[in-house]
Amino acid sequence: MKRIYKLFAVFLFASAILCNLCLRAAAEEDYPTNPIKVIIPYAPGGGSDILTRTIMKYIKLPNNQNLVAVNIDGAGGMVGAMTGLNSPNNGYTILTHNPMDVASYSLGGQTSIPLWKELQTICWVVDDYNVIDTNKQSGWKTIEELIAYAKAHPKEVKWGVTGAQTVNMADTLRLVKALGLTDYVTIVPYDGGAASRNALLGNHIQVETNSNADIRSALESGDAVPLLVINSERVKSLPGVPTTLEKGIKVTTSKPRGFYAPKGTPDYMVKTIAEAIKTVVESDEFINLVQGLGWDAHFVYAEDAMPRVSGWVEELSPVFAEISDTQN
Amino acid sequence: MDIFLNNFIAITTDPIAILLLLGGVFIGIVFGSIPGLTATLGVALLIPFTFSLQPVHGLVLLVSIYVGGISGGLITATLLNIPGTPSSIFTCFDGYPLAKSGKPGLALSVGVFASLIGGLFSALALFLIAPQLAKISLIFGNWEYFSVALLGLSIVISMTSDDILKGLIGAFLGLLLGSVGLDTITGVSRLTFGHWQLIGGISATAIMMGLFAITEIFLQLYNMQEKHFDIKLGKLSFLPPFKELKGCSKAITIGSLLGTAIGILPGIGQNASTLLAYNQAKQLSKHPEKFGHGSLEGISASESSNNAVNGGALIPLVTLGIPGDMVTAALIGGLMIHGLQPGPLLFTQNTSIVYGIMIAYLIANIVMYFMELGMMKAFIKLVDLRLSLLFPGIIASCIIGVFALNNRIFDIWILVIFGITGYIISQLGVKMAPVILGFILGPLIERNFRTGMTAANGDFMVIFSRPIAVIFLILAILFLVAPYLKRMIRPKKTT
Repeated sequence: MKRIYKLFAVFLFASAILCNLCLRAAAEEDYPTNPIKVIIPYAPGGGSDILTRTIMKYIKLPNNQNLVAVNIDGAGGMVGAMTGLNSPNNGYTILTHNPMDVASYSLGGQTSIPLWKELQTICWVVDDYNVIDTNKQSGWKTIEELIAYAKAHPKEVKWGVTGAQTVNMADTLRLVKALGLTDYVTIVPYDGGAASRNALLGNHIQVETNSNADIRSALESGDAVPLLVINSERVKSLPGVPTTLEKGIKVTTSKPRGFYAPKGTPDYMVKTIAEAIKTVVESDEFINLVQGLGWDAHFVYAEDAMPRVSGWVEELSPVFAEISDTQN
Repeated sequence: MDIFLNNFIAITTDPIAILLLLGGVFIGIVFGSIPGLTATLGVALLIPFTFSLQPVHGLVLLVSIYVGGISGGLITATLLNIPGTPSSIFTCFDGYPLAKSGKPGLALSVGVFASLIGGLFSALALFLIAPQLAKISLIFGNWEYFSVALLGLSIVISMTSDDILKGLIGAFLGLLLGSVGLDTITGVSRLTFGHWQLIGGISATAIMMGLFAITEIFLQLYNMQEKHFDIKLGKLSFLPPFKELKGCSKAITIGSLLGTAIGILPGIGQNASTLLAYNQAKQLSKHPEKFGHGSLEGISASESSNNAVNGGALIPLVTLGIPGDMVTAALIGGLMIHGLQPGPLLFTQNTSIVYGIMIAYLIANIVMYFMELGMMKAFIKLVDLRLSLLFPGIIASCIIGVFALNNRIFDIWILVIFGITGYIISQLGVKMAPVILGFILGPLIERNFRTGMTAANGDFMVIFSRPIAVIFLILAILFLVAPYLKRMIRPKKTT
């Protein structure tokens, strides 16, 4: 009798393991079984919101599941990023964000957590670029004209930047230094891209560093004039504008937009979402739509994205240290 | 004019547009009149829905909700002393005393009529001189914004002339609360106590609903045994009460004018614009002392200015693609999702869209007037419940509304904490208005002052090269010292 019990126990044990394996396999195949929440770290109606909702509209997830948008605005996207970080890593909450902003929060000392590593990157979907532009009133058409004027009139030219402890600021400082203008222009931090653009159009500042998407309409109407693009190669929507690299300046940080998951989200879930997003990003409809909004559709897997972010972070760390030194 | 007529006909003969317009105004009034559910929330919740509509239809819907929502706030403000939407805070001060004294119908019809005039006036400005006015919004730089906001804050002294010390305590509390969060100039966290939830600052809607709705409920609970006053509406006609309105024409004109003018400035935002317009209308009135004691002028000034601000905010939006507040920012989203670039070119190239927005705004104001008066009986039935049923309902709607606006449980805590704080400080004799004044205008003053100083390399004297800023600065100083001057002059007269 005892043997039968033993045998029975072994059988039970074995079947339990098998079942468990089966279930796990089934679970892997069966993701998602519920809608997935996407945290959008800005208010409804902004650029990030529209980009994410466009992807949501076209995305096809297994089991006919959908993405559900949850806007959490605050502190230039940081509240949303932190909410994403603190969300359960069960694959049912993800975050859409701007990788260079995510890096800014940690580099600028707003949080001691290295967010760019602590959030699991799913993929990048589009590229945006910082553009150096001036207004109609200044009359400058090239960066050289700006340099000549600024050097002849020290401290007269005001240069707007979006944010204070941001990659935009760090890149602007590096660029201004490379152009030899550090002592000749006044850098003015603005609260967001729209505020800076409005100040430029009203000639309260004469130059600004702003994202291509934010100044698109002003460039098209001729109220703003592009001088330089921060990138290594020419941008599709601004083919006639030289890049920093062409001018021999090694500041080439672009501004991709990406998706993140809380750390520890199972790999197969991250992969499922990445593949579904890839299909959308590579469709012609999506490519055309985002180009009209000032972005280039460009899908990048997490494994290709991470080395680029790490490289930028390494490059930018000393610049951020310098910014906080001068502030203290 | 031809473009106007063509587009007017196009919209009025489009059954879907008409349906969306009527539905939008209705949704707006419902959201506006329920405390906690704000006009902004109504727009935010329906943006995703508009993405699947044609551009013009989507914008018609959003504009209608906006118009209905801002004016709907006066109903509970008048009947319960609880603003339905933050922009109706000032309607409470005069609407409720008037309703309590047995004239709720009069208070409401004057309020709705003032809303209509404010809306129509700004619509007119939108149609006739939008491109010219939009240029003004660009002239305004940091120094101009700084001095306008300072002018707004200087009113705190005359606002609380009965007890200046307590008024200042309130204003400083507001300033302190307004400085919580990430400092945009240096990127340093302030008063967050190391907690990331506070890094974005304190939600304006949560704090306003806490201080005005939850606090008011606590205060009324204290007097629960007293019989709730009867809401007898009497006959409510669609014709405005011309006889009573005679004394209000000035308040309505000033409210509409200032509301439109301040609404145009994109750096100020809905809440602060309404606050500035109302306070200036009060200053310019012949009887500012009557404000706050059931004055029809007060209701007119508040309701005409908050609706005029809407039309004003649409001006930089349609001409330059510059949003003035969250609602107009949402409208920009509505354009972009359809691949339209909001900006200077929109006005000349996509006239059907631009005129669609303007015509929808005009019609929505008229629809709002009739719909709000027509539904008044139903609203009053809703409000005329036993307080033991009504108050839990209002608290629930505040919680839902505050959460839904930004999807954060944290904001509900803000609502609760400031509901209790508001009760305590009001028992100590501190009024809520200065607190809100400091909370909303403080960050505006600080940010613009510091950005201006950075741009001027630390030289404040630059402000004297900017005439508009100097004028506002002088006015601000005058308002600051005026109560003292009056006090100095008065005793001499009596002795």
